[in-house]
Amino acid sequence: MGAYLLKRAVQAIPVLIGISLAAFILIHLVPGDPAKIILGAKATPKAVATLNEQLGLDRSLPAQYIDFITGSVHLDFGESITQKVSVGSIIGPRVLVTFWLMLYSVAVSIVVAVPLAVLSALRRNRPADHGIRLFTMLTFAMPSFLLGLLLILIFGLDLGWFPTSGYGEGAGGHFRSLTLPAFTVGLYLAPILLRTLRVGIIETLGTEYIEAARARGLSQRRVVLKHVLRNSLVSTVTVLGLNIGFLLSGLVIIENVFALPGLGSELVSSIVSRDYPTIQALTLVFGVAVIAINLLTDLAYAALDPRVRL
Amino acid sequence: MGRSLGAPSSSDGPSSPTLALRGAALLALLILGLFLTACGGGSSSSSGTSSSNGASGAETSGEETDAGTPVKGGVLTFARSVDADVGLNPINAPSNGSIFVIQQIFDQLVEIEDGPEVQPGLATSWKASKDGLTWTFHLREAKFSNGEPVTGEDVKFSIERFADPKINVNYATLGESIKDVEVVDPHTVKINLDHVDASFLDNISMFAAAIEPKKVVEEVGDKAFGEEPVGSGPFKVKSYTRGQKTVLERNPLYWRNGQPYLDGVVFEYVPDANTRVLKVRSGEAEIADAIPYNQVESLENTEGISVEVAKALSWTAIFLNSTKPPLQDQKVRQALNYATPKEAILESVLFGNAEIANSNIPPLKYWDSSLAAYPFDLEKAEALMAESSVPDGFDIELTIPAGDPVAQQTAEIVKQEWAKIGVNLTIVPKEFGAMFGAWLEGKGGMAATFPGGALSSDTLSDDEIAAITLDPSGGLNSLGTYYDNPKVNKLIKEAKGTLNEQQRAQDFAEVQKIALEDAPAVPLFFTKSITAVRDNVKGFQTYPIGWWPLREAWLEP
Repeated sequence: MGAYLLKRAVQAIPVLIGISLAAFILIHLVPGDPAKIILGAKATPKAVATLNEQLGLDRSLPAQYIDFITGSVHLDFGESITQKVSVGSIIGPRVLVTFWLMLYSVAVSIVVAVPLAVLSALRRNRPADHGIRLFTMLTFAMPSFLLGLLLILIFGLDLGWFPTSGYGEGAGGHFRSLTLPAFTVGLYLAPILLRTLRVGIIETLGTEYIEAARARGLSQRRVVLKHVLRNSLVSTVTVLGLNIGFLLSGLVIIENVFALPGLGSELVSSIVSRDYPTIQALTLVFGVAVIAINLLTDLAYAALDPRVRL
Repeated sequence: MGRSLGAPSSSDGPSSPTLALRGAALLALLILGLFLTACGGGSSSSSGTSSSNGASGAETSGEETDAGTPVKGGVLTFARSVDADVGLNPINAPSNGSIFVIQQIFDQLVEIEDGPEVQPGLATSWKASKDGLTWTFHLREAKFSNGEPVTGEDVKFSIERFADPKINVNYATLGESIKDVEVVDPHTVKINLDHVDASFLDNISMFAAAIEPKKVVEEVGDKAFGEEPVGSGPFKVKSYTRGQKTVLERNPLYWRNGQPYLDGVVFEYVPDANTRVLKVRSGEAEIADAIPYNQVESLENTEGISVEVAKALSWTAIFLNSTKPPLQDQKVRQALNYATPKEAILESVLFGNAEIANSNIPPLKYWDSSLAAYPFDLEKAEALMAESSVPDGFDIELTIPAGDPVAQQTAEIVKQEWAKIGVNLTIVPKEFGAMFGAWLEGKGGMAATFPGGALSSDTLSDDEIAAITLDPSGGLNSLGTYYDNPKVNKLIKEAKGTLNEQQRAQDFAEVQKIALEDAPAVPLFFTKSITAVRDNVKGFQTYPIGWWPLREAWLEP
């Protein structure tokens, strides 16, 4: 297992370099100049030149890229152009916000999807099945900002159970504040899991070893929990892993709606202001996160399906 | 200043590419039904109660006079569309997110209040020498929040930093006339100028000329000072969490008797406009800024909330690049002005919350309100087109900030009307960061418009904005229009070089008139600051410059 992990980590390096290079080239190709954006209506050529010199943007692009790479190796991402503090101090706290939001969202989606999928599969094509699928299609199809606002309206404003936005104070405050955003993301994610899992369960239910288990007189509960679910989860885990990576890029809307200081909103504002060091660092963080999630997915496979370990 | 870069993304209804709609038509209908039900549930409760408060809720207050004596205490929560992301150091703060907070922490020698004249700040009085080159300021007894007195040395330090283009990079043009500062005694300073500068007092009233404690800045350096600033203003920083919130507390050493009334202010960064509104509705925040035009009315009709629509020194326009044919033709530019239905846009897009602009710059100190804006007159526009170099019309591209619904809707209406005089408009949405710099350099196409409030004045008099917008020597190609009328340039220079108020007023009035006729742009609106305020907040107002004297605000117990 150790060798396997090491191999995967080594494989990730060229991927990360590729991502960072692509991001670096792209953001420098797009028109727009941080000095001009900072100066706005004061962007006289003289002021632009002074600022570019102070920001180190008068150096050649390869020199800037090499600086970035050597810095990254030492986990030093330089200083933000607009905010004038180290990029690490901007991203650090935000990584946690996004991490807890993802974790909470995934937990919500699993808690919602797994029991409903089991119910749906066991009551296949019956009213319960149709009802579940319709409800989850609704939450899936709804744009996230709309679902988010709905949840705020109902649970934040009318019922007052949760704060409408913000990140709260202390662990309890964070948890309460993250609840509505986590449900917004979780309810989007749940139908994807539910559908995959439902199909998986239905397929597994038709296999011979389940027949055999039943024939041996195992209870329905034991059959479903121990044999059916475990065997159906493999494909669901894949889908989950893929979607988390995918969701990371979509979090900015949730973060904006709920005023959460996460990575997505920072990425957008740093792109708008052409804050190159922050954009580069964030791209790298997202790259690492997606690779890590894929790795975790593979590990989960191995845990679920002994054959993978062979 | 005045560039709220987040505006394009925060004011719209964003749609997520990853969470795109995938359902069938039936599903869409169901969702809509669900949404309407939920909304109906929410709004019916508020509209039901609002009838009792309809009269007072409809009030919009610019300079509200509150009955009752201010009460001390309480913490005000303020939901803001922008974050104090660039720190709280007055030098080189380029964003309103930071600037408006800085103003609560620092004082200048003279201060911008509701205008048009600057008011005493840390200086109680001042006098210019006969030749206008030496200004003597008498300082009041005041203390920084760390207990140290504000001295002439601190003023010298701060003003000379403001005057140094290597330090004050962002606003170098506003400090360029200052030569040096002499400390006469701890409470008297003399500021010497290189040349007569009529806008000098205005310039040192801006945030970048705030008086900082020399000792602290030298000790901790600019970067750390931006995180833990020390000023002589009504509030001091309690905690500062970038991207989230800034918490201020009362500065007990503040020099204005009795002020501030509040124990503290919490600025929360809430980028989404809908969420900001909900914060005020739910009472989690007392005040929310940058309210979208289309929500003003429903908020006014909500019990316990009123909306302040305050004058601002910002404006919107369709800027025309006069180097791109046929826009070099004045008749064409005038025709476009006549063919633009400003009333209709004001009504349907801005819901009446702005004023039609009769000038190419915002309504500053010498603004002539009597001048008539271009009326919407298609016949006149057609006649002008017929006399122009392109009687058969022409194609034009208008670049607008992407994701800005107000700019988008405005452009759609303009497109329809311009088509009637043979002008075929194509709307090109572009990301703001990409469009702005390119436009200033003449690489942004024929015409462009910027987000509302993106362009605003830092000072109360016209010199700064007039030079930037109408004079190529301002360094920005007349804000990308390449407008260059020697007479206007001369008038702007003349006005800046005289301390004769009458002369200045006359000069700027003439600039306004000539520029309107020359039509380097299609001026649209003088925009407003729109703020939702809960009724228990008293003594709150928004200055035209954009920020709020929160030292005057108090909470009704």
